[in-house]
Amino acid sequence: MTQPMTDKDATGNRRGVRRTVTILVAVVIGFYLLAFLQILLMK
Amino acid sequence: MSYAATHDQHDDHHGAPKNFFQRWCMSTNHKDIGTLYLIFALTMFFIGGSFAMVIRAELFKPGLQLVQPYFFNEMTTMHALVMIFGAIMPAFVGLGNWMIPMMVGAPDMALPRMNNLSFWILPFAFALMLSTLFLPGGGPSGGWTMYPPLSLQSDSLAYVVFAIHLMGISSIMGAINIIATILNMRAPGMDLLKMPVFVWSWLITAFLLIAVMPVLAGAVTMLLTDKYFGTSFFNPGGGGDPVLYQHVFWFFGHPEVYIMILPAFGIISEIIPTFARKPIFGYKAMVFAIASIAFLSFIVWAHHMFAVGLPLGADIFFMYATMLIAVPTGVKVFNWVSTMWGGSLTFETPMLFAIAFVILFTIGGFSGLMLALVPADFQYQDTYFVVAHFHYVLVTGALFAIIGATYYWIPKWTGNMYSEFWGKVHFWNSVVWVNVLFFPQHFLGLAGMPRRIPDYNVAFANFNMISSIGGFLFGASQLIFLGVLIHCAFFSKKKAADRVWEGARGLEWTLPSPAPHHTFDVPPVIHDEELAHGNVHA
Repeated sequence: MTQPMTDKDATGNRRGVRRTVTILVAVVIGFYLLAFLQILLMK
Repeated sequence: MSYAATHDQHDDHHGAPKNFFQRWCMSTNHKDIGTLYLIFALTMFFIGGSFAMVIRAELFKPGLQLVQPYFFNEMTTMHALVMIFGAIMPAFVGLGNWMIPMMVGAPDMALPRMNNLSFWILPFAFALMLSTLFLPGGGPSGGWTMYPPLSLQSDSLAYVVFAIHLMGISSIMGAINIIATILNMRAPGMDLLKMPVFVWSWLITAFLLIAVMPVLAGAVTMLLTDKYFGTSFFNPGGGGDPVLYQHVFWFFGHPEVYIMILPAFGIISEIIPTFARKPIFGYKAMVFAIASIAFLSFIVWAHHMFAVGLPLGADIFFMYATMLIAVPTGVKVFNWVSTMWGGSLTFETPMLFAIAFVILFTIGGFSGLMLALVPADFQYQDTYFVVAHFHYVLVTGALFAIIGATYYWIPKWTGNMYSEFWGKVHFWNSVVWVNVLFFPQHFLGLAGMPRRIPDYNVAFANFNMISSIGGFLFGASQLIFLGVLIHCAFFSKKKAADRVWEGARGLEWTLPSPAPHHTFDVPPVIHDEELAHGNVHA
């Protein structure tokens, strides 16, 4: 038994993936900068 | 209407590309990329293992006999880097790649082309790092932690930093892919709290990776600029402080330890219910325990640094925060035991590795608790006690879980059964020799033998010889594993059923064995009673 997948579902998936990736990339950049910030704050 | 969670039998109508280059180098298929990761991890496991053999051969008796001290230091450094970044982590990514889409009813990973890139960065990163062993000036030799100022003396620093950047990019892309897949690609009806524990463990691990790999990249970038661009982040002569490196490194390093063990927790939580023929005890508690451990892993980093001279308040905070991790970890161990309690247990090879994991990982956890005590740690710091502790956690913990997972899922991957007899021979050899290898190292550490030295006092001779014998035989036992894998993949005549194990639950077992090249092109219908942890509403 399988479920039909509509175009709307597929578009929703794609939009969700894009949003997830954007947020996660922002977090990655944030933590990279945090390493430097931590050094500067502790000095 | 059927109430079994099922799959579309037309799944496999697009076969794998026939051309070798297209199939393996250009692959966007999660199963093929998973296979590539696993083969890469196995190769690195044997390379890192050969470095360990050099270490144990040199330490077989006191005095310098086989290698020069600098080469010995290169071996200890490279053994750790290769095993952590080349063997354990890629093995978990490979298992995640293979199993997560099949477990959540997704057709593939959310970002298949990025998946290909994530993998193919790795061979180049490791070729770069291993090539330093053949360069004038030699490879890195200051330990995998790369503490300055020692690491800044190495001529190969730039190579190693670039290799670590590449590994970090690969891990971050892999983690983003896993999170995007789990959050967006689950079949309708596969709610978050219906997912297998393995998928949960990988979701949480991926968040850890995203938070800490950039911090490692930042730390090693600062090392690079200190050596080549005249900065003084860690140079007291220019107003910097080497202890700051240790803070930043361990802000990455401690969650990294959990990156290497949380997916193992997920694997054990799949294997034990299958062979106990019972749903996992306390599914939600297991998920929350993993999340709690992940949270706590961010606030315990300075327990690696008690001996550098932290303020007393910091020592006490990091000591208690570290000991707190025993609570969610204890929940997991008790839940695995409760799952087995009263179950119809059978002891196939994956279950043997899972049971060994529970017992031996707990021993590693107890020695971890001993190391968490500040006054005791002043004695244990930089001794073989630490070496024994983290090898119990990472070898009998992470590695045993990976081996158990391989035995558990390889019939699904290849369509063939492995040899149960040789699997058990591999298990018993591994479990005996790994203890001969690492248990005496506790005594060596308590007696004061420092780590990362090629020579030692004659007082430590006997336990070192026992440890080395265990090491050689444990290493040789892994050749049995290689033989079992090759036999299963290419020569086994015994075909695997779709539901390979009688007690197995979950979507992956509704697929044919071997799993077709494409699966769940159309999402499956989810039925709670088919899920690995049984009645989710209980």
